[in-house]
Amino acid sequence: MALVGRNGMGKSTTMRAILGLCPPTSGAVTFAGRPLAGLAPFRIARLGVGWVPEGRLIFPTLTVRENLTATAANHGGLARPWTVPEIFDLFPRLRERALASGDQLSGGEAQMLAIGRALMLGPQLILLDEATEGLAPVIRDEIWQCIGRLRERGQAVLIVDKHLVALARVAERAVVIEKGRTVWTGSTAVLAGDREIHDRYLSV
Amino acid sequence: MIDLLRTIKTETTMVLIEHDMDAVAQLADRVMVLVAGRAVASGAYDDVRRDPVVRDAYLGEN
Repeated sequence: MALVGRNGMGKSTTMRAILGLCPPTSGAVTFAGRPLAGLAPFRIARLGVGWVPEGRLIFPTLTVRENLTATAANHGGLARPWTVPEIFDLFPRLRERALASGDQLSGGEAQMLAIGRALMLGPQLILLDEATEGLAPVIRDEIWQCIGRLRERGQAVLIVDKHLVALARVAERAVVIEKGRTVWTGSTAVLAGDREIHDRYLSV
Repeated sequence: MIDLLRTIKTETTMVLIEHDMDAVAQLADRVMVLVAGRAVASGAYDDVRRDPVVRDAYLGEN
């Protein structure tokens, strides 16, 4: 599922509300039938929700390998939880940089590591907040390919991004929000091709 | 935002560090591509984006 909208419309806030990092002012959040209201963020993570935040927030003093293993678990109770070798297969660049510390990584490497760290929780759902922001086009392509592979593996993903054509390849449905409210919902393919919706809700 | 930067450009020399190729195409009179601290290409956007070194190291397939 893709969550799109102009800057400041509430996309990251929606993710933070799902994660228990900010309280919802109205409405409810349920995950696998269970209401999340009032739960501390670590409890929500332990229910199987993984987060790849905008800005990545890699642990700078830990190595790549340590970033992956420090919080590793199988919170979502997956039959096939991710392992470090599998993360390195998904992101070969990280294997090469396994002993580098977090603060030595390029933007693209940090983004891959942030995704890998979240997958190592064994999440049922992973939240990707602007996972291709500020990255060179060739690195963005790599990230999109990896997100596509997550989808093939059956990983549920909620993704915030502005690249509609790329989103249409990895997500089936989209919700457009404006000032914290849903203003459009439908298929990502329709959204990517509809000039009118784009001009009304997404253009600057 | 593009229009704003274009307006600023009429009065001030601008060095734009940017990964958004649409913005680069619309704003840059001259583009320089750096890879690992070295300039590998420099010139008009249309020429630079066709450079195979730039495609390989920076732009990718698309």
